[in-house]
Amino acid sequence: MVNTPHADFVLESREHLQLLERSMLALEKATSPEARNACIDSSLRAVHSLKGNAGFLGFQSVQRLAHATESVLENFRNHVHSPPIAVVEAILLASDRLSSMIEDLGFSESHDISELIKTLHALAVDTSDPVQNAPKNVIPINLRMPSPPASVVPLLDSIRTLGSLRESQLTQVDLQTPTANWSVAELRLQGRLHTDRSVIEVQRHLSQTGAAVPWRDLGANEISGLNAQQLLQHLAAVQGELVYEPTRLDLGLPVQPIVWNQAVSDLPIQPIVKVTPIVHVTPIVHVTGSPTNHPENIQPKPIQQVDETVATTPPVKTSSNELVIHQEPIASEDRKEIVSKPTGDAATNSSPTEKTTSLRIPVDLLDRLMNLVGELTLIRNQSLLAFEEIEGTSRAVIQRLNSVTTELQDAVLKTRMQPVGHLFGRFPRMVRDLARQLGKQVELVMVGQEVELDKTVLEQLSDPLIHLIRNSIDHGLETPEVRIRSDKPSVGRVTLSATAADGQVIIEIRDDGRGIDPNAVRAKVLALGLKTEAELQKISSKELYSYILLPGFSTARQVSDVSGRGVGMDVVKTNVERLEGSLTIDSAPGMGTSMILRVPLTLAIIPCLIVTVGKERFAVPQRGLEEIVCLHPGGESFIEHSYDSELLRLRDVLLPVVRFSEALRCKSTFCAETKLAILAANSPADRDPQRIEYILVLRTKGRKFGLLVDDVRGTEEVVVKPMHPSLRKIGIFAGATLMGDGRVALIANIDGIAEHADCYGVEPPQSSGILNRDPAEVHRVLLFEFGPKELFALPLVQVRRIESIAMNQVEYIGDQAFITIDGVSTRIIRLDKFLNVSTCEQSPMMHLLLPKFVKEPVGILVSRIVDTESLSIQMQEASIEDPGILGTAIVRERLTLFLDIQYLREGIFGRARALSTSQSREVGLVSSPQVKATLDVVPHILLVDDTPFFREVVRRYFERDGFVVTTAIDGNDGMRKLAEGDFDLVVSDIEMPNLDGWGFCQAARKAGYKTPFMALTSLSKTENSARAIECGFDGFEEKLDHDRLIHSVRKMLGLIAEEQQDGN
Amino acid sequence: METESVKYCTFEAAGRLFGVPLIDIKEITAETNYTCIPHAPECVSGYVNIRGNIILGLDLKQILALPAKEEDVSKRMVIFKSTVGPAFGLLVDEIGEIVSVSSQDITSDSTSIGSELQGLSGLVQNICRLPNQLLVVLNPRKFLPIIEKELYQPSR
Repeated sequence: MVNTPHADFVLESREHLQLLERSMLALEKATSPEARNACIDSSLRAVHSLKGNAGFLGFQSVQRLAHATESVLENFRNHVHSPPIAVVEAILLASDRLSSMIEDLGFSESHDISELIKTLHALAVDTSDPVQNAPKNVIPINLRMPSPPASVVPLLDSIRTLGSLRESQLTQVDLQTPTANWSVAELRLQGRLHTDRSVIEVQRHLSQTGAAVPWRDLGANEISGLNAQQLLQHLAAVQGELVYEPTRLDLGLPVQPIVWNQAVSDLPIQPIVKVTPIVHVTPIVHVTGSPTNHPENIQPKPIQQVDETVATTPPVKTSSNELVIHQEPIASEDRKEIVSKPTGDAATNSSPTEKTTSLRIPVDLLDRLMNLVGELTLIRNQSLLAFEEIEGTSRAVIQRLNSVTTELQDAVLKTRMQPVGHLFGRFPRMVRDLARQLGKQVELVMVGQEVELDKTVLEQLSDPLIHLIRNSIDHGLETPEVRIRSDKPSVGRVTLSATAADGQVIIEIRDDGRGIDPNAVRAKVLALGLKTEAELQKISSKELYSYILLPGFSTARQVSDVSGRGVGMDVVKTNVERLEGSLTIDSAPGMGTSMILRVPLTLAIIPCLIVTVGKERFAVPQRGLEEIVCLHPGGESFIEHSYDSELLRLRDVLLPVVRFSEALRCKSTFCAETKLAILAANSPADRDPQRIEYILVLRTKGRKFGLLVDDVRGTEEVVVKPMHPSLRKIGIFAGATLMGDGRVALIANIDGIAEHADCYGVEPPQSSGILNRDPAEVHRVLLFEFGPKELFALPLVQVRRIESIAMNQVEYIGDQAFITIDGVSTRIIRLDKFLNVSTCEQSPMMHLLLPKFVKEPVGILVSRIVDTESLSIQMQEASIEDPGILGTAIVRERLTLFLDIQYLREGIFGRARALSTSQSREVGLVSSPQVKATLDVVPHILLVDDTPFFREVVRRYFERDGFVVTTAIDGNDGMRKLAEGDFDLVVSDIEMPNLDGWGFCQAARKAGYKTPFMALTSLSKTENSARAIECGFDGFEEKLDHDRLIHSVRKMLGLIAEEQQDGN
Repeated sequence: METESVKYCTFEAAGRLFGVPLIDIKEITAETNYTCIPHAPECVSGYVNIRGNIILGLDLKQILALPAKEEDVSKRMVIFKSTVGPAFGLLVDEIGEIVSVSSQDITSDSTSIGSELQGLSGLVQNICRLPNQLLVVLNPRKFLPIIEKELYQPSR
């Protein structure tokens, strides 16, 4: 956009209109007159600034419309009751019209706004606050308050008993005094009293309070500036005090002046306080004791001091209260400057009127900054190399250059980020309009508006989100009647939440509507012939719902204005995928639907794997990368030939392989001949026996293929620059980037390469479902040996790391062995000391396996690391009677022992200590023997987990802690067991077949079980805890962290008092 | 001077003298660290990093189908302003002088160009009569369309 005054006007006006819209929406919801006034005030400010700007630039139509809007708002200011819906409606309409005029400034004059202005005028004239009875009298009030401010409060209170005071002003007036070292002031109250009483009644009433004195104008200075809170802060900042002093007799006024006193000797400044309207002046200043009058005493002498409560007094309660301060020297020459900001924004605390304080910077300037910072980084790198040899002062300088550059880069990157609130801001209006249109009642809840996202990503998310929210309201939510019939609150709820995790932002749109009927989706899938009945039996619900995202797939029975045409969801998906993001749907029939969008924080920087082909480096985005297979000459895996393509046997899948070098060399899309030529050139027989090759296993659009490269250099976060516009047709690259050495590297486009090589890949074997449905979950386990006879295994999730140790470094205390790792003396566990297993011959170098989830420094001594293996653990329980062995399984045709780390740990440290070290700061932890002793009934826990391995591990945890455990294999089984037994606690996995943890908990809650539920899962806590609470869970813990788990369980069972937790 | 004159930046490629209007030039660089772009037409030398900006380098000799010499090492690149086209430059052998040619010595008659340039009509903007030789003035706005055309018709 050209940077003209008009462009600025447009940008600014957009903000004003957004504020207006937000305030109007907030106004509808506001319940107290104060909140309503705050909303009206902020909308007035917005409209007023807009009007001023438009007038200045000569956009008369805009100005006129804004003016009409302003008059309407003006009218409803200070009304006790909320304005009728017609008013809000009209103002929103005006706002829309203003916005279209501003977007189309050149033709803003040609808009026909006469009708709209007529409507607005009609509303503006209609001043009656319809619900409030119009008061009979409007009595102008001019009061002087002789003894401010302590007496102001009762006076105001008494005025309020008469009626409502409007357009009021509280002014402090200086009375010119002949001497410099003291001064006089009084407070004046001016306003209109709307009352049912007669003038005489009011006068009598006021005279009874003894406050009414005739008004004399002595040239009051009224300057708006500070609100009440700021006044208090100000008082505290200059450490002044409010002092009552006797007045001079010759003024003939029975006043008690306020003197603003910094030092007792000189009195340079004095505040004039103006309050409009006066509602709650009470808390501003408290004066200890009662004001005393000493008219005879001419000496300036502090009589009373404001006590300390001034600083801590709560802020003025009503937001419409404007407390303004003005300083003016009396006779004194030395004028002190005191901050006096003309903000007058008393509503800064209320959210809808929050001001955006920011600076507009053109994006291309930011891009240039990015480039320059990138260049600076290069120079830094070169300097680092150049100065590497030189000792002395230059090194320190370079190091500082280094750190400054890094920070600068971070800062510049941050400038592109914007809170998602900017995007969310437009939805309340949309939801409101849509709900009215569809005759539904909708409450929109927005969470995580502060989460930040790259500007470009944010902009492109707008359309998909609008579509999804529309869907939720149109298809998801039922009409109020239907909702009431199905025992739901009549107001439907749509939750829009944003969270940031792992370099991604997750945006979830969740409704509590009717959900998606899986049978309807199944029927449609069958009708479209996408899957057979038998195939459908096997797929998970998530996978089933993913079909909704296919083009032409809509289960809506009726096409509505809003959605349901079957176009849309696929467009949403495509748009999201273009942002390198993903979209998933989950739904529980009758309970609601949730759509989850995942997008990267930024498109400008993506993590890439740097590979080489020939002499050139290329960056491959890591997002599609599943794993890297290294092909050693003579190794077990190698590339095989099928009819026209090269394949790799990757576990059970035949993975088609594309040679990156060939894809680069061959300019045209691969045809049959090209493929055969490639096969001929790379026959397995001609393989270079020295050469190691790398295959990147890549996933794109649901298919998987291998990309063969020469070497893998490592990973790097690269700044993406688009391809040159003239080269856009080259599909195999997504852009270019600058490497650390200043050279350009190309960024591979995985999709493009697959298409270019005419490689359609294999469909991943229901990859999303594996973990969910296979009852014997696939685990990666570490296989290792200690003695020569046994093979041990430990799931990799329980391994922190493996350290090579030299046995001559081991130190002994008695028969306990220790070695120092990372500066910590680590206890070495020899398995033969704890288990009935063979011993091992000591060799000079051995391995130490450091387990995860164990707080004490221990390591398991290992003689040989065999391998890691992915396998489904089908454990045979209790075939070996050793408490340190969880179970056994046959791995590689050998009997393999699964270790129970927790048992080993307790064998060393003892049970009580094992727990108490982790919770060492907690006092009075109930240890398990006492649990047994103190409880009449041993707590009974229902453990629901589909994985035999985890079930066994966790069962042991609980049983060792003295609980009785019943296990169930999935949600349905859990429901049966719930019905059979009486449980104190339910601990449930989330990802399970048939009925998952969410559903299980919801079902149990619905069935009326009040038992505490704890979710125990490998899912991320940050992402899922909100959902857990929603489903009815009382706690959420990660799998395998023994100490945390036991601690939480005890807490939930009430075995640990809450205060002790808080005392941590 | 009475007559209007135009300034040209001259350069050599394969021993011939060419020029482009000086007003179109942003800068001249000696940066030679190219990253070649697979699938791009032959005449694209590759990307080069000029102070954080990625510039597309085109090889003049390839475009004009002039013979390339083996010992071409000291290449220079003429980078054009963005008004000419987005971020690109022209690789030449040697940068010559800046010449000022009066308008009467500039012809737009391209018939006098050597036969090997005839096929690239439009690329040659003018011929200038310099005191001792002819200067072929190229139109830098025509370069990018050439590579785009080639990308769309790879058979050429």
